[in-house]
Amino acid sequence: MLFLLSNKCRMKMVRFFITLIITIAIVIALDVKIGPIPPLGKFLDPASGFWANAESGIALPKNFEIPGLSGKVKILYDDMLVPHIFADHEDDLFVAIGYVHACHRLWQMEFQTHAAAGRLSEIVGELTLDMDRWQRRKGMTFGAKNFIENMDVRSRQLNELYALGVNAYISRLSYKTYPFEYKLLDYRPEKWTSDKSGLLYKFMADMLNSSERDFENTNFKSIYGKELLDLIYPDVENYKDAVVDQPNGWKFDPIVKHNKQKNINGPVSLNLQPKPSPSNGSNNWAIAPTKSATGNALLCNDMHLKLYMPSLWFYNQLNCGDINVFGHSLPGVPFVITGFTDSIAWGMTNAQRDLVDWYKIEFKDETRSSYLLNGEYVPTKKVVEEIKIRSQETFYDTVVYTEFGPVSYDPTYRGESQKAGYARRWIDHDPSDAFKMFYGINRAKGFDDYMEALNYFTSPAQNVVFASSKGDIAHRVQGKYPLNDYEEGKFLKDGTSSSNNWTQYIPNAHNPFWKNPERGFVSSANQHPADSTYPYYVTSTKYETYRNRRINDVLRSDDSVTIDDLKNLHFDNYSLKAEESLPLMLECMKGAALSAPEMNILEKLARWDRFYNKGSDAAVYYEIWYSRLYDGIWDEIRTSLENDIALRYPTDYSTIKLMKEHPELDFFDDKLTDSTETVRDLILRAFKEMIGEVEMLRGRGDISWATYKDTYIGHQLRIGALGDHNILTGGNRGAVVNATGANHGPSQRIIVELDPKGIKAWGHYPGGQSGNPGSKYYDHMVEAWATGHYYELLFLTGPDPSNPRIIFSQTLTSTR
Amino acid sequence: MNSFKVILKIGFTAVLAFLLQTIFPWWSIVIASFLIGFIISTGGTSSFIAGFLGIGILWFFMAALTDIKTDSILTSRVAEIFSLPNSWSLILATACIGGVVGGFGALTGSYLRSWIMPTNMD
Repeated sequence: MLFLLSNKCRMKMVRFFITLIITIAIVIALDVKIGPIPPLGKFLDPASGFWANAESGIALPKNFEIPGLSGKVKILYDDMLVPHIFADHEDDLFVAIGYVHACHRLWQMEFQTHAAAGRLSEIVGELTLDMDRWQRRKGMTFGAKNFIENMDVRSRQLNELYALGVNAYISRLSYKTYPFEYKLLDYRPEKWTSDKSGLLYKFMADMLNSSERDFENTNFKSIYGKELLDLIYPDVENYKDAVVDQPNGWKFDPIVKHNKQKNINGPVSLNLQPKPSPSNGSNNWAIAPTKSATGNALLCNDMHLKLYMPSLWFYNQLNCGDINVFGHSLPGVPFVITGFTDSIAWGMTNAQRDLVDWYKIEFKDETRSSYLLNGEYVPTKKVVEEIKIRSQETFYDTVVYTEFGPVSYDPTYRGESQKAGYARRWIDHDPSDAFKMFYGINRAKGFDDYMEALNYFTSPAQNVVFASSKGDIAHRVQGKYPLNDYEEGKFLKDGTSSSNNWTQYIPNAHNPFWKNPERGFVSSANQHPADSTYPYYVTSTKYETYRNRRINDVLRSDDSVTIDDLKNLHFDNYSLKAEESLPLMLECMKGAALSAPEMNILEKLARWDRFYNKGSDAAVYYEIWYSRLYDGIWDEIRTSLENDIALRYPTDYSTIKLMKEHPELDFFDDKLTDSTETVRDLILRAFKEMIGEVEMLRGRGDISWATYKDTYIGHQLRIGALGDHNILTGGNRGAVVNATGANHGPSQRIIVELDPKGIKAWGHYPGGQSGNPGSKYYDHMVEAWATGHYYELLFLTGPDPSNPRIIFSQTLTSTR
Repeated sequence: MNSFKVILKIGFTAVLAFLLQTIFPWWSIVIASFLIGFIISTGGTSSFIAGFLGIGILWFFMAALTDIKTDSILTSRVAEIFSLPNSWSLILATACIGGVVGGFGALTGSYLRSWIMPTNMD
């Protein structure tokens, strides 16, 4: 044909096709994600791209149809975008919670469940493959499966109803209405399943209940000996102000352990996966009517976690029949996790305990098909994990299971040798009735309901504080705790004998608990669960020794506690750690040759009130000085970690105590120098290092604690622009009640007054109700959180849209 | 005459693209500029310019309107993700991306026309 065309015509045809191909190529190039760059055409399209996610008000439909609802559901939004959900039928309530959570937080719900399930690589690519492998190898998915499959019938139904609500929302989505992050990463939401609620819950349990130091303790013992281990890492640093403090008040016969345990010797050279942050913790307390200014019981809670956008928590009120509850939900889970009903309030802090044990497994050969158990080789169970990777081939990981649990470290993963592996036993591998506990406590009317509900609570172990409008206060350390012999669980265990496995658990009735103690308050801050007379052996990676004492000091000294007192205590920036270490540090500086500016800083430190207040410069000097000192003392630990021999960093409490009581310790000598250093030398050297750093800081402007600390709330995708930065606020992680660090701190704060005439509550959290970065509700509470302003939380008695704080109402009905 | 035609093309492209975008995905803009480029005959260069401006102006105003209505709430964050100095540069980038697609769509349309419907002018 071509030769029949004129030359000119052929030219035009070629010209057309070339332009057509270029045009198509451009459209395709702008429709696909290239590396980290989103599909530019699709993403920047002002009609359906990211622009469509920018909101000027509330972008919700007034009416929404969900097939399967039995009646009507009324959702009233208040001026903080808090939904108050009123349903006629209980089943509908749970559908509505699913719908509401999805409306505001779908992306994070799915992202976090993907993270829990070891499926991030599907979205992100190879970057997260190691993380995904680890999720599966440590038994996250195994534990979630056991949790989901063994859940009681009603809890499972609730998860299914919740899924119905989430999916009703998802089914109406198009690219235009996808949450922002889906567009940025260019993927689409998948169907929500009831299993995902279980996964999300395990995600939380992993953050709170998986801390352990078995490798580290074993290594330290074999390198430095048992005596030093006990000196530097005592099981209990300080019994003072334990959660339940009732010496000789334990009225039960403790059960006895049948099996004796066998450990293995180290050192073990392994590149270990990182552990959850040791700062994950919380404060809570309740005040009895006798100590309260108004005569009503009071309850406070603030949970310290990594600061994230979108926020971990979501405020909602749920109302149906005997359920009338307000509080913090975890989007993805159909309950209020902590909060208050019309008669009681409850709050949680993490109840640390050693809930992970590691067992050394001896395989017959490198096939990992059998392992030595009770004198003979028995077969392992192999599970092939399929890890999909975005735009790459699927990765298959074979995880081997033993009687103790999954073998996390073995020849195929960070292994030590061809025939050895380490099996992980985690309390969260076991089934749990935790959802039954939330179902119960969300409708609790009084003390008995609280106790009954908690009986089902096995994980993650929490110190659950309680107060009621009848005037009762209580505290209960609740979780499923393995029964351990003295020192059991601290070290790597021998995995060749079944008798080393967990077989017995502390009965619920023997868990530390007290009600209405004489002192008029109960409190917890992740400290030791009970005083020294508690008859069970208790150990953990770390028990708090500062915040608990400070909280109790403040509460003891106040006989007429007001709401303002409670706000002040939430924001209390006093450091007991500074009180207990600074005098020694200053003392050691006596006689040192110092320049005038150095003297000036030293004097400021001597005058410092030890509050980590926003504007304090002395707090900066102390912080740098102490951390240089700490690094100088424990340089041996750092060196060992660099060589894949895991050791743990001692606590500040222990470090300060050792400086005072054991200055002869070899750790105080710097091995890199020929001379022998003393505590005093290290303090002086750290001081000089601090001066150097302070001079550098001076070059950038005035020194204040808040600017030095530079608090920020990062987005879960670690994309800077989606977070909030340069937040100026006081407090510090670790030893201070206001545990606000740079990127870790109170993930919520709540104060509840249990007035019998009507519960009142105040609170805020570092973020906002909306998960959409294009909404003004994305971070609307951050300023209040940073400056100490509390919002009054609206608690409605009925679906009354005429309440002046209601700004929007929505109705859910079934399809006609 | 010709410049009037170009202005007409810009207007028609923008309107047609706007309408198509209410139903179809973003790439429907290329259909709009292609059709207008094909139907209203001008030279190749002016077709490209008309397509570029038709879509570019449309996208510019849609983006700018969203930005103003929402107080740059999301624009400023996204601009930072792309290391752009401010919201306006993101609005311009959006307009340019749309413009390039529109321009090439229109060029393809006009080339198709000049191939299958040659006039004396060509």
